Amino acid sequence: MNKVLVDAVSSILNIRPEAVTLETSQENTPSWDSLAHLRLILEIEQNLGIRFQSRDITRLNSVAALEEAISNLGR
Amino acid sequence: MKKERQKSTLRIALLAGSNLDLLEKPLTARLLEKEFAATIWNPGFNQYRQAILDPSSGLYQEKADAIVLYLDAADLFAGCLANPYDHSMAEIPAIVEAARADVASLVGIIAAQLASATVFLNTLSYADLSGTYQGLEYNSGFSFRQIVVSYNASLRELARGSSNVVVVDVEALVMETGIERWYDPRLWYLGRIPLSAQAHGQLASEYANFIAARWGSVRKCIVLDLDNTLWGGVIGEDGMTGIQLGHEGIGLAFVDFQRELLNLEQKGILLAICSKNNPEDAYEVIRKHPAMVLREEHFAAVEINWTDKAENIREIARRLNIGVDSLVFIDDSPVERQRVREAVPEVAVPEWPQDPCESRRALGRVACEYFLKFDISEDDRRRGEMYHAQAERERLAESAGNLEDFFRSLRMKITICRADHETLPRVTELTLKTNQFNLTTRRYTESELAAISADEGCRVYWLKLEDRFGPNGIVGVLILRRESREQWLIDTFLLSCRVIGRTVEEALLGYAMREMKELGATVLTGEYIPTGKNGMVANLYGKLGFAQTDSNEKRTLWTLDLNQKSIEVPVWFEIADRERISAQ
Repeated sequence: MNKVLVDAVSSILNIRPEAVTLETSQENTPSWDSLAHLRLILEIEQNLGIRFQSRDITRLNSVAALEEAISNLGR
Repeated sequence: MKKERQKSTLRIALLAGSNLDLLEKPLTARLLEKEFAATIWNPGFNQYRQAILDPSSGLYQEKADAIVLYLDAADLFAGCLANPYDHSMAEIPAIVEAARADVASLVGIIAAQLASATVFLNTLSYADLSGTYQGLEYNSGFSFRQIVVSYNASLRELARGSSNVVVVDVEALVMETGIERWYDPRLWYLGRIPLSAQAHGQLASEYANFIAARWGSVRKCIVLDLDNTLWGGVIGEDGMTGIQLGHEGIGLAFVDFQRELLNLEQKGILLAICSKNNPEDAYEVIRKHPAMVLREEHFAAVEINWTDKAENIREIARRLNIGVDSLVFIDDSPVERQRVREAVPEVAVPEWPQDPCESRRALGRVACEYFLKFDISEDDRRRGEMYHAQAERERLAESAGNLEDFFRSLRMKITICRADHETLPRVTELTLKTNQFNLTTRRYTESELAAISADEGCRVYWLKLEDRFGPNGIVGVLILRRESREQWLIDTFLLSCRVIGRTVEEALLGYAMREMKELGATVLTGEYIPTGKNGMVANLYGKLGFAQTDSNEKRTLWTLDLNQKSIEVPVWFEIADRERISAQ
């Protein structure tokens, strides 16, 4: 998994880095509310120097989806 | 490493027409960097009006100290934005006045319930308005910009008219950042958050700077390197004609940087020099170089030698009688910056651009971060000069035979008055900034002090000192509270560090004592609250003849029986303005 992604998920959602897996998602993570979601997106954007489109932002609600989107953007 | 400055927790209310949730974290983080612990109460998207109007809202329950009331053009002029062509230039004054009156009334409601709170308002930017108006602005009877401009101008009167309003120029931040980077439409449509991640960071820094400055956290002195900082090149190698300073090429960047420093000096910020050089080489530039903007009289302290800079910086603080945590050190050399950061961590050492073209802008950022002021007092304008005179006093002290001769030779003249509308800002500044000669270190905002001075059971005195070397301005504050008819308590007793060691405290207390007696007081109680910085006055009351009545870790209490003992104004003081005092 992308290290920047793991660090962002861990710090924004208050999860230990070891506990972040591809299965981690908005559904199974109570701290992943809508504001935390935007915060997470902004953190990833800033640290990787990328920018997601608004339609993707709403879809990217799991670590697996984020991982894929990041690699599609070449990072 | 953390400084041992103690500050209580600030309660901040975040009220906005939009979603400012993302501001919470960076704002508390930036305040913590400035050693302010803060809690934030945020009622959420567009709840500002309810929060202010409802007397049982969290705003009042939490007793907020600082209220950020963040409104943008879309919140205040929604109607005009929706129908941009429906209003004419002639209607604009009324449209703006309605918005101004609305904001003023909200501020008034807050002030009525939270008398000592400060409301931070913001200027609007024109930037979030559509480009479809382009061409019409300035060329037709239509204008939206005029609404924004007049509203912003009206904020000035609001801030100047009430001591609990401070305006943050957010429009200037938007200009600096650029519209495209300030707003993030994705966040707006997904979360009703208008601003970008970057804008939240900048806004948090700006509000943290303003809040910290409002609560007295402002530094006092800029310590400057010379070679490649005040001028280009190395004077010891390049000589007077070889250094870059003047209107040719890059030399102008150094002239402009010095001009900006001079502006800060006139705002009351002290300038000092800390440079590794032969003093005669450096002084030749300072005194004789035709393009130097800053001259000897602009520097409150000068250390030009080959000693370690950390040591010189401590010496500068000692000579100016201020803490090292009041200093900001500017040097182009990363090695010197690192040395000072490690050896004297209390000194703020900003990163400094290698390219002198960037110095002026870098200084602007330093000024915002460490030297923010909301007004310039007469004292500020003369501060540098006063410190310069201080050096001459020290020379006199060294030549005088004994202390009393020295005091007499100073020809000190004091004025002591009760605080009024004109003097409150300076009195407030002293309660916020004085650390060393300060018995209780109670920090008061201007509105709190206005309330105290209007209270019949209180007396707020200030002392102004002049001597043969010129005026020192208002340098002492004494606040007394009546406990009972016979008994008064010294709530606040402080002196500016620049007059310490001249028996001014006796003059101030001795003078107040006369008035206390006239009011029928027989017992005066003094309190000493240790802070880690005010050790020099731990035994002041004892020295003045008070008897210690209570002592624990947090404070010691002292009383003086006015029937048994009195404190007199020392004979070497001349008391000025007698008529004015007795008339009060």
